[in-house]
Amino acid sequence: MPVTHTLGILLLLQLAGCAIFSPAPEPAAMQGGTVVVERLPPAAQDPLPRSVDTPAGTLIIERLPPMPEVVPQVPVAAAPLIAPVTVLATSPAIAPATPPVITPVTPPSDAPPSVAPSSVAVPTAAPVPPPTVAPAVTKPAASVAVPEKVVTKPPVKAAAPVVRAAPPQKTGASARVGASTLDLDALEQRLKGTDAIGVFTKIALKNQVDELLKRFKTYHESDGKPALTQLRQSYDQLLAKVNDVLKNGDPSLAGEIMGSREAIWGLLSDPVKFAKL
Amino acid sequence: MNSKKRDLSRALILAATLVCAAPATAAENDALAKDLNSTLQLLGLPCGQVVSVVTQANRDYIATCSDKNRYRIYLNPQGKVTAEKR
Repeated sequence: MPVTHTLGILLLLQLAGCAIFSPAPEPAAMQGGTVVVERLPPAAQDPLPRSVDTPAGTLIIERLPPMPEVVPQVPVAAAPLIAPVTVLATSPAIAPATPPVITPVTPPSDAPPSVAPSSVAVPTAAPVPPPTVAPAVTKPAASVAVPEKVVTKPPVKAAAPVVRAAPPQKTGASARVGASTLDLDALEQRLKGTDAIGVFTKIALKNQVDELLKRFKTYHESDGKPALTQLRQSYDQLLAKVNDVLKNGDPSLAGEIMGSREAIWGLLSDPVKFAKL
Repeated sequence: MNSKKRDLSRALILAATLVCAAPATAAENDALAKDLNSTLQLLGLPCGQVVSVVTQANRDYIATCSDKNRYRIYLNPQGKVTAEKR
């Protein structure tokens, strides 16, 4: 008897569990999925007429909110769908990083370039994305927080994908920022002070830097006798070695040096700047 | 009794010193091996990993690599780090 009782209770619990879980995801997932699939093709063909036919663009806006609800449930599948849309809406430079979904979305930009961003970004977000591309990149933490908040704030949803699509470019952007604010003395001090490499390595590194500088000096004095391409090759090789040596012990310094790569090259290759070194 | 105690304490101190000194030396050797490894890497010489180091003089070492290469790495009078294959 007790066995049947417990079995009965377990069965009830299982049924109750199914009853709790089944209703909630269904509507959200269905709406979100259909919106995403249906939305892009019409926007590609004729975005304006369709929004007029149905109760305006508001219908589209109402359908978008469920999207973020779908995203957390199936993060892997949802992320690629969102990212490419924003990539095209914000910056075409990132497009090559996400090839699969780009092709369906590109048509809208061909026909009416001004319509595409608005259809993707939704009324309120439309003015925001273009200028906020760079800021969004600098705040990765916000991207993590956004998906959960998106449920309550539909317009923010457009910003979330922007941030997700941005990370690949983030390193390049930060590198350029680092390059613009290059502090050679600080880098030198950090190299001297780091514990990641020993004394011998530091001396060897200094030897190689001195040697390269000597070659640059020869280049600037003798109207480019060693070709600049050769110097660039040597320079790149040296930086690669430095990176190899530092990356395990002091990855931040290695990253900083690699980030300053172009700025340092700018100093070395420019005769005026080189003379001031 | 006192002399025995003194001997015992000395023996303990000696033992403690040896126990502590051995890892310290090992750590120094590891650091040196790593340093020489990075140096060889910078100089573009094949090595793999430096597995043993023999000190010949101040800043003059013989490094044996995991790929069986042996190098003399030293600081020459001009202040340049030099590596010679042995």
